[in-house]
Amino acid sequence: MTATRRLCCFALLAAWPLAALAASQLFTTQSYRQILARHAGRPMVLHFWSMTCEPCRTELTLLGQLHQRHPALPIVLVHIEPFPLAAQAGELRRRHLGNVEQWHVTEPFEEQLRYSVDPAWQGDIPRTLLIGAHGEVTRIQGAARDSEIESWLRSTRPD
Amino acid sequence: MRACLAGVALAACASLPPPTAAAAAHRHAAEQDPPQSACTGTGLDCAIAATPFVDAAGRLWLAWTANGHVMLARSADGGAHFGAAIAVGDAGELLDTGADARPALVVTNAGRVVVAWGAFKDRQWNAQVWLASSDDDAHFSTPRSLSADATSQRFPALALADDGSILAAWLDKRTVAANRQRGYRQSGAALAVARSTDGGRSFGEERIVQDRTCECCRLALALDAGGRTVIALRTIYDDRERDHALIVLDAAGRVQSDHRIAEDHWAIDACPHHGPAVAIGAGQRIHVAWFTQGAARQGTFYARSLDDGASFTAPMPVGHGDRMAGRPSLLARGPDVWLAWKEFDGKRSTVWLRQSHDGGEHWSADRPVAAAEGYTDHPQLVTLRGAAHLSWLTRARGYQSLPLEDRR
Repeated sequence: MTATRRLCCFALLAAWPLAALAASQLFTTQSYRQILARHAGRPMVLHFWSMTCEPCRTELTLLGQLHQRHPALPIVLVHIEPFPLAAQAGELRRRHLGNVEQWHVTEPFEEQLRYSVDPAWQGDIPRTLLIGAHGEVTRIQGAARDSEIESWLRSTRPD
Repeated sequence: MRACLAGVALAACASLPPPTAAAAAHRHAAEQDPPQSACTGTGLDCAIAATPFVDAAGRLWLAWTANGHVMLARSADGGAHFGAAIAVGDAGELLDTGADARPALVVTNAGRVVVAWGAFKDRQWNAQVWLASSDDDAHFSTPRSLSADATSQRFPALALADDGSILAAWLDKRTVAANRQRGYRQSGAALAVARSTDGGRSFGEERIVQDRTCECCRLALALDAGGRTVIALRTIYDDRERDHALIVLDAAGRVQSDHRIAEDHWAIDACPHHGPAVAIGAGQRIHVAWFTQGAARQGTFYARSLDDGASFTAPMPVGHGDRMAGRPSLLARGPDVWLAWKEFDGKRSTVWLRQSHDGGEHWSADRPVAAAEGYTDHPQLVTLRGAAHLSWLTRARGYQSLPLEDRR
């Protein structure tokens, strides 16, 4: 299955039962595994945020700049509070993140969902997972610094 | 309620796409994963957060959020059955249903019902606390803003004083906005309080108590017999450490004391979404429980103070840190103290309980009192018909009001 077809498949999965909504996909306890599998073999930034969280909005601006500097680096965003998708999309578009992979929830991000990502995660956001080409995970609690991500990126590149 | 759930499931099945591989995969995933938002109603079966209140007549009231609505119902038999639910507010998609948000509720001895909730209002994600009240359980006033300030308010808490007045506390952004105007960036938010002496029809002067609170954790509020207000809340110390404070206001609403509960040193520029619990027992003993990921300690902890927070006992660890022990709730009645919290083992959420009969000096062994798979709300402890009860909303097993056996 090509990457494009695989993407279509996932889009289909996520679209039901929210067919009329945006390209954002519904995050379930299976999603973290799916995201890792989909991007396996290359570095990725997986970021958990909420638009009601002020440190998150600040960090999102940094991620938008990162995306412009490194358009080929996959950035995957998971919005962890059940708020309107159109508003989430607006926040992302304003930060040049409108076209990155987006996930959302329709219930609070309680223990089942958190556990599926990190059994020790008690719900603080923003939280960034820098995932290396070989699946190694660097967790950043709280707002990540530009320099942290850039330095990780340099260290994780195969070259 | 069960019939409603089944109805929703049937409707969802009827609209299933043709049995493609994708649909089959989705169904498989759905079987493993309790579905989010299969629920489209406003009943308890679709609720996100349910707040209990036991009135002077011993009736259990519940206010809950479900699909954009704030709902209310009353039970005369301790929660086994509820009367018809009524909608007291409809905030639609902008209702605050974040992980630590919940409606606030009090019922006065005169039968006035007051419900408060938060909803977002603009693209900057400023919020507003709305309030509706009633003289019965059927006819509510049109929701109105709790605060006269236009900036932003979230996380309302309500408490009923012995004199019948109602204390409201919330997180308020007016000082943040004012400081921004002056070119100064203030982290977090402010703690605001106001009192109503007319059963929630109006609230008096709004006081800013403190302006360095964490902006995204619920408050814990308790009133003592002397009319003083006790608030535990996550506070930002030194502009970076999100540890907890205990604030005592005198009967006139003036700050009597403001102390750090423990030097956890959780330095994080983030929203923990995890507020504390507080209860006042015999001899003005103030019991607190909280969650931290600080440099000094990590997990959920309990402490008590005999001197209005000037000093606290050493933090006592609560629950299994490797099972996400969190969401503490406290109930104190005379020398008896109950402490409940939630854990997750990868499959089920379990509410655990420990109990003290001597004001928190000694504690029983921990015991599990309820468990459920799927989405669950925070556990909450209430006194119902003279006995401690666990109030717990679960998606899979419905709402539960469980009497807690007294163990020594």
